[in-house]
Amino acid sequence: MVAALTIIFITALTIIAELHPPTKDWLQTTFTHHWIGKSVLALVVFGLLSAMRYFFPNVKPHFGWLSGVALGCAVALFGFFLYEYYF
Amino acid sequence: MTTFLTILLVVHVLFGVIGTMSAYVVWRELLRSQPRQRWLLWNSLSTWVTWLGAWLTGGYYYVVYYGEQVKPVIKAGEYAWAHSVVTEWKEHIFLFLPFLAFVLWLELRSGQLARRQSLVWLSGITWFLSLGVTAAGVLISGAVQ
Repeated sequence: MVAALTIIFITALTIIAELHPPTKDWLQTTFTHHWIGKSVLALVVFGLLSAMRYFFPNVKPHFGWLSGVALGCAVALFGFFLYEYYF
Repeated sequence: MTTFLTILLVVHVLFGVIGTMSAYVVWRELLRSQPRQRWLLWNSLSTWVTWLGAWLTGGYYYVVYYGEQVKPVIKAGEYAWAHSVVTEWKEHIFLFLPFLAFVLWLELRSGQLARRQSLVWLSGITWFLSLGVTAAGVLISGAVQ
């Protein structure tokens, strides 16, 4: 669950940053490079969600769902960059 | 490109490839009727640690050199899509991999394979994505040439 939400966050932030230049500029100025910003924020999100998980120890991990999320987000990002380049 | 950056790039590629190989071993081992616990543990740890190394080395190279020196060359050439689609995809999909590998290692560390079927899927997809990232790296290098 934690990794899946982190991957969704990375995907959403990537698409938002491409479509909304002020977000990309914010990442650039705050972290010196937008990609560093995404890396750092992904780690922060993963860390925070992992810490929160301590309060919900009975929640079982869903690795099948994680697989689907990872593949789906990978396909979505590829489609997005393809669309952005050609259209 | 300085000697340091050349070495960094080589180390980045090595880390990535070793991680991809380890990810494949984890997937194949989980497919066995009797997975070997130590083998799973060491290879899942290797996957996670080497991809962390690839993240740091590749990230440094990307931020310090690729953006200023390589990206303009690709975008000015006939393979501009190699950066705009392939590099962009690679640099963001790569961010998934250390988290996927970490989660796998954490679960395999417990020694219990109660959710083995879904772990097979997870390890397989992790390996598949890492193959894609590796292929993207090869393509980008070709586009620069």
